[in-house]
Amino acid sequence: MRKLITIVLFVIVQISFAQNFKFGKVSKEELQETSYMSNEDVNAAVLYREEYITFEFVSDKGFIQKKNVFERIKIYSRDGFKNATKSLKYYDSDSRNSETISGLKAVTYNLENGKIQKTKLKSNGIFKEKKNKYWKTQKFTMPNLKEGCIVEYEYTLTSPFLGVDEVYLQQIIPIKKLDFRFEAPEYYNYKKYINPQAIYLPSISDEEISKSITFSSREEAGMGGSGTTRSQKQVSKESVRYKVVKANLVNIPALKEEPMVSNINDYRSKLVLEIDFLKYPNKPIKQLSTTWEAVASTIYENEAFGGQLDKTSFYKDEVDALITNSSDNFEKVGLIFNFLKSKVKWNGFVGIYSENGVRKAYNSQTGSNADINLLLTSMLRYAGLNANPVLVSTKENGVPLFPTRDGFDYVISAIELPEGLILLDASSTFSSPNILPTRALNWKGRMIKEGGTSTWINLLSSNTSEHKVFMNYTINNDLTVSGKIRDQFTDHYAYKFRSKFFNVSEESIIDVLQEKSPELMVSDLDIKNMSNYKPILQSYNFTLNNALDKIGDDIYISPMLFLVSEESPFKQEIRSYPIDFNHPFINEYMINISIPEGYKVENLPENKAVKLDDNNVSMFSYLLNASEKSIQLKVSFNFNYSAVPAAEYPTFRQYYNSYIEKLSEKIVLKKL
Amino acid sequence: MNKITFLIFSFLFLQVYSQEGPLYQSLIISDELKENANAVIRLNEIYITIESYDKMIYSNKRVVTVLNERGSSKVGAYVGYDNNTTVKKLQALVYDVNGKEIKKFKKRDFLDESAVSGGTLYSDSRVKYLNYIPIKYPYTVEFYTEVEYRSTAFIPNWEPLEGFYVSTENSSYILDNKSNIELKIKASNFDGFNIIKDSRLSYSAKRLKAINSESYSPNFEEYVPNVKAALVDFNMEGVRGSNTNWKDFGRWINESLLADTQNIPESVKQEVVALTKDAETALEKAKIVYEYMQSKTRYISVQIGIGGWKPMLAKDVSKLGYSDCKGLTNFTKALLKEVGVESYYTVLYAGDNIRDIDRDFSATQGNHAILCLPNNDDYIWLECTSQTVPFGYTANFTDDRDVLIIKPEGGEIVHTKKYESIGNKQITTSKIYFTETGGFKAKVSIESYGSQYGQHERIQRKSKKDQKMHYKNYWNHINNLDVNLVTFENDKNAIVFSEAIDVEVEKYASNAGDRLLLNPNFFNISEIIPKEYSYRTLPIKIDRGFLDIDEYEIDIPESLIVESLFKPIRVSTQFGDYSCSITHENNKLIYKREFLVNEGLYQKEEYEAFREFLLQVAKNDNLKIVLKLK
Repeated sequence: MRKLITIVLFVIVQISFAQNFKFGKVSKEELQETSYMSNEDVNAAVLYREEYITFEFVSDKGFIQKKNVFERIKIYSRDGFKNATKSLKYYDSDSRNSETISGLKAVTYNLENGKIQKTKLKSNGIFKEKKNKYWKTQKFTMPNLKEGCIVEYEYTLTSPFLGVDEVYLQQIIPIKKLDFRFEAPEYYNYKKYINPQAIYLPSISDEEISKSITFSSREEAGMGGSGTTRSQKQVSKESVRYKVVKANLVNIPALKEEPMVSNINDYRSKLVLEIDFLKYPNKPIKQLSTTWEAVASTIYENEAFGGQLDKTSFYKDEVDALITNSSDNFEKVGLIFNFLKSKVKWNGFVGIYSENGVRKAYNSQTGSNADINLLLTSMLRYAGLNANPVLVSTKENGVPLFPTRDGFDYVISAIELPEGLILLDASSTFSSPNILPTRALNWKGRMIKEGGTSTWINLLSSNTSEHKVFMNYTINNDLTVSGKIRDQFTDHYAYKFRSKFFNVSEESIIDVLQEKSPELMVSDLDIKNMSNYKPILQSYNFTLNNALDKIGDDIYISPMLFLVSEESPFKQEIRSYPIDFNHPFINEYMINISIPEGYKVENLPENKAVKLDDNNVSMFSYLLNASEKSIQLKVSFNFNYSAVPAAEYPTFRQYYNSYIEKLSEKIVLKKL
Repeated sequence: MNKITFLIFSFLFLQVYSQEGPLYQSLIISDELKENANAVIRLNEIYITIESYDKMIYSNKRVVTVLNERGSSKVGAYVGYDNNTTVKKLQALVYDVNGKEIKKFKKRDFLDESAVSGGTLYSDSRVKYLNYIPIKYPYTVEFYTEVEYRSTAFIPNWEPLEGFYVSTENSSYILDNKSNIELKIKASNFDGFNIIKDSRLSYSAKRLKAINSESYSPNFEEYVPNVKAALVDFNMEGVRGSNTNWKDFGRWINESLLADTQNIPESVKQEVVALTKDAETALEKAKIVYEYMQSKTRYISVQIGIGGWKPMLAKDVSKLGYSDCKGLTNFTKALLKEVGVESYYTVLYAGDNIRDIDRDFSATQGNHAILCLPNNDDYIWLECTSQTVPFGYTANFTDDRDVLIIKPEGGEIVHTKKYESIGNKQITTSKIYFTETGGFKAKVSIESYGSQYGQHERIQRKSKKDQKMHYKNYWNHINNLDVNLVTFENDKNAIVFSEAIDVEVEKYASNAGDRLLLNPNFFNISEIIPKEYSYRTLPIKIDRGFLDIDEYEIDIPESLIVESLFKPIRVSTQFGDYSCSITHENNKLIYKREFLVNEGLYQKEEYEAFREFLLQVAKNDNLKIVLKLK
């Protein structure tokens, strides 16, 4: 009788909650939903996600990390089908310390004639693939997808490691409800961080519980001097406190993707759990979390980092010969930097440790980014310079949330001189002193001095990159235009120019230049300083058909011709994330136009100077001056920071568009 | 016997090695081979031994000098393999500019990865490849491989010119047929190239200059030399096949690859029979079945074993709701069979570029499958990998080309539907309210037909936000365009797509004192400017023509007077016709434009005229009128 009552109660409870967040308990109401909160742009949404991480005690192994994931995804339209293909990545190097995925099951639910129809994912629909030496994936795509269907999947990831994967609290589709729970036994103490750059900030709470755990272990007991041992099983039942971190979130907005963002993950709402310290009963605390100072020091003490800095024997002779006649520090830096760049090529790998030792990299002439820049630092030190390695996090690696070795994935070198710091990256062909490749222009760097002490340094260039253009042209009788252009590119502009055009044939560079306007013909191209670090100087002659409009007896001309695209790159009305320019810049155009015989100036656009705001962030100016024979125009546009914050984007967009609009204004020449 | 052959072979190889030292020096390459080349194939010796219908040994010695970074992809030091392949030898040596050996790679030094292409969920094909980071250019890589294939269905072809911007010093191709099976050979495009045919099974090429890529040109494989080979009796991943001609080969495909895959579950049978019970003609039935298939499936590619050629079982497609082109085509065929409609599985080369199946040479060709529906004397073609394409629509992907259809009695080569230029139409009309400050408000309507239907139709599936972005980019000559309202109508029966867009912008015309300079071609400025070549070497090929018609009514405020208009323009050439005009009535301007491009093949000497035509169009699309404040 009591049993019956329970069942009845259970049924009632089931009915009163339309949504049941257990695997398999998909409701008709959920299947009947046709849009996500009336938003038709949402083609799929996570109705429910559960992520539960705990440490279970396993006899002979100790505490093992278990992560259970369960997700229920609603697919509203065909474009949402891609959300039913999943790829689960796990560490498996075929050794004892490997992760495993178990209990993977998945079901598609459709509503057919008012009835819920289930289609299970079969095991032959799960594809295991070995990615490389360390990583494997299990991939699957769900069967029998139809618009309006729901898919569910769940699995358990078992890991022997203390490290906890980043917990994504946001996806590229919205999440209706998310329950996250992390439990760690009292012996393991974690710190938690939420991504402060995220637009959606979750609320996270803590609690403490206790669990009863049966410990069992084998103790080896020696049997006198006979050499035989016998193991003895010890069993005890204890109450263990668990610290819990949990999040119960609803209506999490989708992570929006936008153009001109360096790494979208920097803006994702996420929770990061860092192992802080271990504290076993009757044993001292073992500190694992750390400060950036300690992280740097640990890295430095590693043989594959600090140990590589004083190996000189294999390059000694070559470096000696290189700098023997040089007494100037700058010259030595240049010589060594160039020598190493041509000697050892980057193999595309990033990392903070030397892979097989710098000696091997030197001899085989290829190495990782760490190999190359540790070698560079070592050589510079050998030459008597005050050089130190600098730890960097690439744009790909993002901005770390707490002090950890994984927070760095890249190494550069810095030289301290009375004039200031010189930053060098010999793993990039076109980087020059203080001009780092774009991948390294992220966050800040940690410079480690001899002995392992370290300090933060600024990586973002405060130097303004300049593009100066001098253009002279004549309007010919046949209404074509012919002229000459001289360009000068400095710093990052020069870096980009070299990256794009080094070793590219003159013909191909001309093709690129000619793309700026349909009937532009370029000749006599000359480029200087391609292989040194001076500003790039480019000059060429050009002729242009269809540059101007002749209407009646008047000539209408946009004086900038093809120099600046009249199409604005800023088409979005608002943005969620900043626009990254990587460096401050100034673009300057000095233009001299010869007025054709028999014409006079009828109309000149007005001079104009506009500031973005009162904080000296950006300014443009447009100055025209005409005489009888010629017109001079000077245009300049500067931007004194390396990014536009999202909130200021609409203002910046309007400002930039007013700049382009100004440039499109016409000079009118009238026939005399 | 095998062992001895192998020993002799490797001995010869060593001899060649010691004799041709200069091969590894980059300095001695002649200027004519370096011209326009990013890499030079110094030597490419392909030696294929056919032991029997299910055993083939491929050996290749290859020496490539890479002149610059862009030439690195031509090293070609990789080998693909699967369960029916054994990579017996794999080795690479790298030499510097002087021919000094600087690095050696043994088999285990090659990287091994899954050969999954984009869009494929899983494939059991893998690839071993050389990952060498060049220290200096030029450098030379010598690559040697020997591979044993149990499948003989895909005998490697010979293409001594390996692509654009790469020249060939020496290349040879020797087929050694030790089996008693007939080996078919077809050699093409030798004229004008320095190629020697030693025998029917032995070819060599010397000093082939690099070819530049040119726009509007025919497919590369249509004009460069190649030799194809195929066995009359072959093995495909464990299935024995025969191929004396297309008919025979088609029959084999039907019997060995398709026949046992056609069963579908009883419930699905009943469903399609019920759906089509009121349909009167085969065509009506086919359309219902096709749309049923579209609603039940999606495209996911999984390639296992013979999966490259044999479709997934129709009953699995039915259950899973996904498959690749073969599986989906075959599934549709199986469904049609249940309602008594005959259809033929079809193999072809798909893509925007038109490429034919070589009708004179029956062999494993093609990269895609569609379904052919006989309709009186004609055929209707069904693309089964798209869930949205209208019944029988094939433009831009499978149109106008030779394909292989598999009839029960055997294979046959036929030509797919061609989309004629004037049918590929886009009609843009608009009512525009121009403001005295140079901005405007407009209602624009665009109708598209034929191949242009396919280019426009996809917009409707973008998110609202992306649709707005699409129009901002489509009309990228108008800065700060506000896209206010977008509505679509997709008539899948008539195959017409209609867009209606409300737009608004504060500033469009540019200022010149108290005048406004206005381009009355608000919504369709041609941006096609063919590249200029000092010496055009290839013919001009336009795969599909089109016709654009524009008509705009522009309302001018009373505060502005029209100061100057332009005279009607008409340009007429063999490549197409163009006209535009503007007229003024009361406070209205009427702008009309027609632009026709003909599809066709033209001689290389005509290129400049072709370019000039499109330049004229671009120029006239930018003609301006002057309005002045009263």
